[in-house]
Amino acid sequence: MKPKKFLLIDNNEIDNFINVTLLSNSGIVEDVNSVQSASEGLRHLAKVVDQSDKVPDVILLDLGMQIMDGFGFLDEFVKLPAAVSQYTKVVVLTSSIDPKDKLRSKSYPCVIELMEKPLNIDRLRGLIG
Amino acid sequence: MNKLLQQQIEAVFGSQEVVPEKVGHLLRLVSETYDHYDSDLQRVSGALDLRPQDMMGLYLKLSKEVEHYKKVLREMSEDVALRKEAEERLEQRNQELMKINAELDRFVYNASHELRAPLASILGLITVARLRENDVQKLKLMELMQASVEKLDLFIKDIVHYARNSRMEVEAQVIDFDEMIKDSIAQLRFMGGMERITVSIDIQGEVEFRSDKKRLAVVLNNLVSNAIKYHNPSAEHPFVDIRIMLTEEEATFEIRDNGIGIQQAYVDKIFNMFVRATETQSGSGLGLYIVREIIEKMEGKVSVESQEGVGSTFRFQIPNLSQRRAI
Repeated sequence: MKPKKFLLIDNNEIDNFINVTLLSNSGIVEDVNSVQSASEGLRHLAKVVDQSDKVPDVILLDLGMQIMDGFGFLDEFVKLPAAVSQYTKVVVLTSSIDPKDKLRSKSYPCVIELMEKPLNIDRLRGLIG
Repeated sequence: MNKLLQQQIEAVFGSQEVVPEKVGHLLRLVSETYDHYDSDLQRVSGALDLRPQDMMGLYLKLSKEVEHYKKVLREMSEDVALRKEAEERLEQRNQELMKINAELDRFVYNASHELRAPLASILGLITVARLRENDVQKLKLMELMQASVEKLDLFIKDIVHYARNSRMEVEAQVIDFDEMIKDSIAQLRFMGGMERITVSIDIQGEVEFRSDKKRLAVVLNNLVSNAIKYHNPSAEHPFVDIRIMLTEEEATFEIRDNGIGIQQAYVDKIFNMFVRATETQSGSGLGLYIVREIIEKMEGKVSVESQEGVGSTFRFQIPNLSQRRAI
């Protein structure tokens, strides 16, 4: 599998640290960035939208964020230029076990899966490989 | 000549002899009609087996029955109205229960999320620790685990505060506000930035004040720790002003800071359950919800004024329960 570019969006600093570490050790990463809010994530994407070598292949998205939650992010994400919204795949990574969250996540075509925390690298590899 | 007609003619003309010849023929025809009417009436009465004097009795009986049925109808329509009202009440209760159920559902999922999040972090940190050989790095991971455990503990404590508030009776103990505030601040002395923040306390009014000590301490801890947690690190003189005004009737509290303030869109929602008004992870999302629940349980009220970048002021009033006991 060709190493991929990741963007992590999670307001929990500890979880970002864990996921960056696990990804960096997994051998599936070309580049990994982490941000602590949905709006920061959108700003990051707006910056790289014209640089195809920097557009992330995969976004790991937390749901339970304040001000703008994961779904708020997805609503904005689908409006982004096709270079991002049609290209980047989203994996929702959450500690929610509410079936409604799963259903709602799956209603976005860009979301390929909802995974429960903590991040399981082998499962992720299977999903994006 | 029909008897009745004869009587009528005599009443008009005095006697039958003076009736003009031409009218006589007409009268005979009228007499026949009278006869027919009489025999019809007799036949009807015969068929009904009624005599004229029975008619009044029947009339009375019938009107009684009519009254009875009117009453039954009235009662039935009242019954229908009552039933309709009961059905409406039932429907309303049903709606309420469905709403409570949905809220409970939401609460369970939200609470489970809050409980699982730190556990997931700890599990993740354990996985990371397995990759590390270095003891110093492992120590750093343990610190992060500790932070997650503390967060979980805080959430569980908040849930207990919430549950305790909704179940326990409000008590009326004499409050030493100075001691209570100082205790509360002492608990917060390790919070980040505390050394730079000036906390001032101003208590006015010399009355015996009774309230629920535990509940009030939870409220004050929450409000004061928020004021410290959300202080503005770039402010030259960050402060928290605590003012308490006591009267025979009530206590008025004001906790004012020049901290980061609350985004306008969140000011009205800040007391709602699981609402957090900052982007980065912080509290349980229950603190101010519990504050409002407790104050309302104590029959008080709470409000907030806040401007982003300028600061927040929380005010609340609670009744003096010594007053109430005296009554």
